[in-house]
Amino acid sequence: MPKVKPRVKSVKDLTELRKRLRSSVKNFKSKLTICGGTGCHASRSQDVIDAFKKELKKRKLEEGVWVRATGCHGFCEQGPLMILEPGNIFYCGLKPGDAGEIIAETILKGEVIERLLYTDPVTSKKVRTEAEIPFYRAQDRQLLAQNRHVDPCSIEDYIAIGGYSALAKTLTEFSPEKVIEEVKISGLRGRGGGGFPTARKWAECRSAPGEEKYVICNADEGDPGAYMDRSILEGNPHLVIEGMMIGAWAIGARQGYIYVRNEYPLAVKHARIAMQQAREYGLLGDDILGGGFSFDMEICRGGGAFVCGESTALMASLEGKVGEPRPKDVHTVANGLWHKPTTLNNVETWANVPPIISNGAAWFAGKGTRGSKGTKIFALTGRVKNTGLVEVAMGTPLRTIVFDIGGGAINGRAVKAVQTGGPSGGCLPLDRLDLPVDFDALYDAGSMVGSGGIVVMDEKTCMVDVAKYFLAFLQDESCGKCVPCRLGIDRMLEIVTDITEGRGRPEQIDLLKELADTVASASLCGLGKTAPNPVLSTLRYFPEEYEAHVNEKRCPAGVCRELIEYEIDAEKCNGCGTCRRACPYDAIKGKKKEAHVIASHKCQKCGICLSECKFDSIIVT
Amino acid sequence: MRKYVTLKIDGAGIRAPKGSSVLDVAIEYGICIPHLCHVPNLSDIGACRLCIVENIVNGRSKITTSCTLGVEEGMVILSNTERIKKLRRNIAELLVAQAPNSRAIQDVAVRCGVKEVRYPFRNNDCVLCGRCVRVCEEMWQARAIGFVGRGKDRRVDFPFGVRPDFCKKCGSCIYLCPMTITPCDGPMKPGKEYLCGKCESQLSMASGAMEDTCVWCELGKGFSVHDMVINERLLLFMMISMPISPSSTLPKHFFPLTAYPVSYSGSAAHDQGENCFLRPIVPVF
Repeated sequence: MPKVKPRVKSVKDLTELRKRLRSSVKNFKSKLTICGGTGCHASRSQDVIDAFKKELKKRKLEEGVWVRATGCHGFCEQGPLMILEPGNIFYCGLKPGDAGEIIAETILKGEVIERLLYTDPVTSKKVRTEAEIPFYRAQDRQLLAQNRHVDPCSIEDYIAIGGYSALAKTLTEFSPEKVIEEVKISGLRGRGGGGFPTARKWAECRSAPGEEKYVICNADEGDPGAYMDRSILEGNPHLVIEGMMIGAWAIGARQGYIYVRNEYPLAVKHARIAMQQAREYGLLGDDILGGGFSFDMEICRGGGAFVCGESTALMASLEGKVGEPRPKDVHTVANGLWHKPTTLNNVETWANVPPIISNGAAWFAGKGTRGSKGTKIFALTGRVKNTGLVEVAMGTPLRTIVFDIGGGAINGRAVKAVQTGGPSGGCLPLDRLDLPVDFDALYDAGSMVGSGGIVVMDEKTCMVDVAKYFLAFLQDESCGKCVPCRLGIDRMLEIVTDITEGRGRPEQIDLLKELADTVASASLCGLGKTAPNPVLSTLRYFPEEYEAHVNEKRCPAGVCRELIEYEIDAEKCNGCGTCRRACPYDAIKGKKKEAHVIASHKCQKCGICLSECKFDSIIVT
Repeated sequence: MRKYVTLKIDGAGIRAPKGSSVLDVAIEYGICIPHLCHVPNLSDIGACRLCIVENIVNGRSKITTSCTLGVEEGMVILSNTERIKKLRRNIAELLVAQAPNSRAIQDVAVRCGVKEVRYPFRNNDCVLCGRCVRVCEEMWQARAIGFVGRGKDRRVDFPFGVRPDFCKKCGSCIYLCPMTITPCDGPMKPGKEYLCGKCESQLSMASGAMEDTCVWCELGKGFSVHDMVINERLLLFMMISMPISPSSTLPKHFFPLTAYPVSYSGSAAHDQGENCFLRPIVPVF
């Protein structure tokens, strides 16, 4: 007989369903939670899950052991990750072949396998549980911690941990105005980059004239190295849906859209399944929970244009037009999607709404700084030891994130700069790392919180080259509609390329500054307005690097090919010949056991000899 | 009954019909705000950014394009501050570096105060103002041409690069194109472009005697044209492009700053080279 899912018609139904779901879980002896987020998926977590299922079937243990694939746990560096209950044992770096051993040793005998535990890099001790790992210790995981308790494809899991109770509370106890008031007290600000107060946006949209209103979730995350929104939508789509429903209730919308980029197939899939399940339970549709509130939503897949993260371009794309921004002289809260009042928020903003409602605004406002409340998820990437997703309370110094959580730069190098906020953000030097993660503090320093990417750079990074990289990205992603952005970024890239290739002139730096100001002030949309930030912040904090490139035609970090020479230190070279054999251009000559020499006219500066040499005898000047 | 609002542009108190844009109102009153992509009676997209003004809201200045900014009661607009002039000059410099051989663009640049161009010149045939695209879409509902590509690959083209049947060769696109004005016959050779600044105004190209013609507009002050001899084409242009305004006639002292089709002198003197998107269209004139 096919199992018909009970429709949840009232708040009482929901509470009963939750009780029933909770009691059914207790029958399992042990629980395996394996991370199936994108990072771990790439390190073959699906194979690990399959291996476990196969092994359990072979040993006829399926009834007693619950295997659950969840969303991202955050510590992507060490993936695939697994948490084993009872005991909360944390295993990392799993391979499909480990399944048998784990079942035999840990599940059946209760013994911990030392080999698979995480090693604390400082004390070199094996760590048993997640809470003891330095990467997790300094974090304040409010949203991400839920990921490990929820199978993203199961609404039952979400309901069991208390999901949709915030919605029930909203519909029964709160008027729309009260919801907005609650969000206002919490001090929630948009997590997508701008940091606009969410409550103000909602209130303006609520008071905007018009019967039909829309809510949109912006999951068009395109910053290089950022994957927070993706991980939330993949790991806990119901949280986002619930947040959007509460928002829709507050502003009076009946229709919602999730605009997610098609490059996130797992996010699309999970969001779609989640919506389908919510519909089956009657949590989406007409008369939700008997509260007289009707709401439904759709998924719209974006084509991967960075500019479609801009609200008006996103709406144009949703309408089926070319994804180009339009002037925002009338705000989207009054004239948005199909010229109707529209509230657009980032995935993380929506995900923050249910906890605010269930735990109270004061709980949320208790975290963070004066201007920025709550927690924020960052994607920590670049030349740092522990890459992964990090959730910290607002106001945490960048230094804590980079050094305590991230473990500092790899290969024992020194951290030189930290880039926050993606292509719209800026680079902060080491001595500014005591800045707190705060919308206003970072903005004043010439960077921004942005959507939450943090890229760590070490001393082998050339800041002019970084500026060039971001300019090239933005030039590629600019829609080309307005002149300052299309031509201005193009010309800035031209100048920076000149500088990195040794054709720079001193007056070009002033021109670069003037041009950056023009692009920032006169561009049509947010992409252009923030585009010069990487250039301006590197010019502000690393002027000596620009000067070295322009005046001395020298790249201090040894990155810009046109400005560097490879040489062999005759004292260190013992003539092993590794570099000579490795050089694809035949540029290295020398006899056995004698110091080799690089013929500079043949050298293409590919850097292969540098990585091949075991004696550090290749010098970059 | 038309509703009116009062606003201040550059200190002048102005009564303007509700629903009109700041740029239209300013032009109506002879306050010259340079513009390129704006065409009267077509929708405004705010693409060229030449018409930027400072909008003072709660004591804070916000830079926005005047063509997309609707008039509101009590608005304070500054169109000619040092900051705006500097930004406008930089934008015009970017444009003229892109299309140095276009007389219209040179004209805009010189009027915006560009004295030298600090970027290497590129000889493009199009500055993507989108006039042609919008006239085709909005005036004739044809959509025979449109923008293709993104960013630096953006260009104007037919659907899939083939002239469709519904292009009636009306020539409106050529008519409104700032690039189809007879290019400067001066010393501009490909690769040797520089801004001579000699063709300061397209008015000098109108046929007939041009005694006393003011060709140098000091921005924001308006300028006067006496006994302007209007040729047929100019008249036609004025008929289609005149802003709809309560007075429905242009003030005597006024002439729109970038009404370059004025100087359009017969069939396109465009080079009609390989890259010219107008090539397949044969003007019917």
